[in-house]
Amino acid sequence: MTIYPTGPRRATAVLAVGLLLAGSGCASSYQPPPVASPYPVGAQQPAPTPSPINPPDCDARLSLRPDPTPPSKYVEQGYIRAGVDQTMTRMTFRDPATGEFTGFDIELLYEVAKAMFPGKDPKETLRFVVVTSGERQQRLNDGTVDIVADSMTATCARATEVAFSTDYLDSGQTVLVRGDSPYQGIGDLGGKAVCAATGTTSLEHTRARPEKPLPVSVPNWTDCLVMLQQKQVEAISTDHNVLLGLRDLDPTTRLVTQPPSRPTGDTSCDWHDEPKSACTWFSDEPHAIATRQDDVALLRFVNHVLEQIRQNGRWVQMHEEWLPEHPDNGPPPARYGPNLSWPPGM
Amino acid sequence: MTLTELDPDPRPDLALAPTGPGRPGRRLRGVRRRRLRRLLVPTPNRFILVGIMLVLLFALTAGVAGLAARAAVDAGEVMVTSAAQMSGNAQAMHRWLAEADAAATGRFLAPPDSGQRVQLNRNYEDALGEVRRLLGESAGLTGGDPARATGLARVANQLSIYTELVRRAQELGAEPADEPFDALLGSAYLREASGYLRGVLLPAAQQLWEDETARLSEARRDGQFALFGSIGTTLLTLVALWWGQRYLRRRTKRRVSPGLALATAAMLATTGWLVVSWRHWPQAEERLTVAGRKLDQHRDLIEIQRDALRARADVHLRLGGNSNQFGMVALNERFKRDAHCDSTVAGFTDQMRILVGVWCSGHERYIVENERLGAHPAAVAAALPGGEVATAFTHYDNELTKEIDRVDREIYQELTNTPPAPTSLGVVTLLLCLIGAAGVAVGIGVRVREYR
Repeated sequence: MTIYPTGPRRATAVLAVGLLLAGSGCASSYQPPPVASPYPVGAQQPAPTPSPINPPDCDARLSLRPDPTPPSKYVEQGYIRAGVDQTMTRMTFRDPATGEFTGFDIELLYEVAKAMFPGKDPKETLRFVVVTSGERQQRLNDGTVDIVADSMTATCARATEVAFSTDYLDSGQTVLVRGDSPYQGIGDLGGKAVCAATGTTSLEHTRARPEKPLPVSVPNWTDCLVMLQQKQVEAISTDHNVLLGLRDLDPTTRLVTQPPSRPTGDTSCDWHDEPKSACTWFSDEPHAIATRQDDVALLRFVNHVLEQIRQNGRWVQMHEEWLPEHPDNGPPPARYGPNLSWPPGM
Repeated sequence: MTLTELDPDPRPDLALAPTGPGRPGRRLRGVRRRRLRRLLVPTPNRFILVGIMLVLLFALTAGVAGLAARAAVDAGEVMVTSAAQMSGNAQAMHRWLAEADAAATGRFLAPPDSGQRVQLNRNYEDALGEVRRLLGESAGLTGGDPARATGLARVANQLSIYTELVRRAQELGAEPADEPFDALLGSAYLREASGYLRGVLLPAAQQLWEDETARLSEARRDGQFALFGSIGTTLLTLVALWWGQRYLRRRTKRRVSPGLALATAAMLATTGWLVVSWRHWPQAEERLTVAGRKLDQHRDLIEIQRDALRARADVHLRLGGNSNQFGMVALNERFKRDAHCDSTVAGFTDQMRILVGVWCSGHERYIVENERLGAHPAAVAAALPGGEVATAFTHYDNELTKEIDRVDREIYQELTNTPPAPTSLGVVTLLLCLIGAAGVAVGIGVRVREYR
């Protein structure tokens, strides 16, 4: 449906300028000015290379033992503030139909809120604050939000800044391309522009690939889809669960099917439900909920809630609702134990 | 008549003097110098040289007068007024483009079943209609200048790209209840459209405005150069004529050359005509100086308004499901900076300070706080027409627009009071210079023939 009929009037304005030029005798020397193509705001091609950091060695899947006691701070306060994305379909997004946040991560947060404030409507006790991928750790540490559930991968580098819950979803990085493109796998994308969101691990995994694709960074995942539709990039590469959401927005796109080349001992497909010969993942992405490192009571309580939903079937129910075709091995087993870098006192 | 005088003692022929040892190049230069000196020794040759010099000075006077005529026209009412109209149009274009951006982003933000969408659609259409009207009007003011026309064509072409992106976004977001995924993608296109408008289209419109205001400043500067240049060359030519007449008199039994006398008369007439033609300049310069000061004031106000419109559209985008590369704190800081909440920049009136304060505190209270508390619908309601923040912005924007219009009227008044440029400065001066040059040629020719 066309909302704004712009064509004829636009043509009139351009024509007026052109006719006046011709009439003024300048037509012979007049050259139409070059016009810039549109790009999403904040797109960077190639994506800037981050300053090298040497994260401490750790097992990012390890977390604190669960504790069923709701943190008194939040119970007294009556609400908890959660940092979420509003464009990541399936995981965390604002439903344009209702204006409400929804998705797998949002359901998880509602479970935490229900357990923390029993008998209360979780929509009343959970306050969503929109954060971008690049600012999640910062917003936790400056106190803007108390918890982040944003399809966030637990990594040792991030664990130096925030604390992670136990793993609640295993995924891996793969590739989404236009339906009519010839690419079958990441192996076909050497030297091609491949998009990912700023501040994500996906950019680094893309950059590290031996095929040497050209990473392009954008603020939002939907910007990647816009660039793919405008043929400014050849592919989008990130976690499988995020790409499923992007495919929902444009069903003409498709996920690649050809497995990538892998180094010996690669663990990317350890959590995939199919054999390596059918697995297109080329990274291991344990998803976890993040809290401040000193908010030990909240972290333990979140781990308690995660433990419960693994056991009572709620996790499977949520997975069926939001990620039915996501090829993971089911609820990731919780792993507790000391971690070299976080939280303090472990 | 036989000449009895003059140059009785021929000088020794230096060219024939023996030369000392030296390099060939130096010897060659020495030979050339001596030949030139020998060429100038005969008096008729010197007369011819004087004649050539005077004719060249007349040509220079005519050329400078031609340039001065162009500068006088540029500083005259018609040209100055067209530049003022073009700059006014460019400024208005910029304003309406920013208004279109705010309406497009606000329309996307408004609930589908609310009447606000209809109003915002109308605002968007009206704003685009104004931009197209101004483009068409400005095209009639280019005066055949390719640079001006190229700037306008650039804006027209970029406008079509922007409206196409908005159309795509609005198509996708038309039925959010039935097609929520399309609406999500639509918001990404809307954000790209807004980014294109701000990053490409608005700077192009701003460039149009800056080019025209620069044209007004140049008109004043060129007018000054032309005035002093034409007077300077005229005086130089008069001095040369006086010297030439004196030289010929010395060499020709103190008789005045009628040809040179005619040339002098032509030059005096040229001087008189220049004075008559430039009589408008003191008034034109005063008008241009006053207009220049007001243009600075105008520019300050326009910058404030553009920043405010950008801040408002940013709020719409943020509330409408468009995160961007800036985080929450950074977004709030950007709002304060773009809205000029501290009202410390030049151009703020007391009333504007009060109203921007109301807008900024409303934004903090109804949007930042509500978003912080997760009360998104309340924040959206405050930002849409009729909401607390939108109403505060409208009051502030109206005051800003009123102030800009007031200064705009004053500038236009100053410029329309600029006296009309002389219409025949270049032609008359050229004719007089031709007469003067002819007088020189005849006067010198007669003397040369008499001498021989």
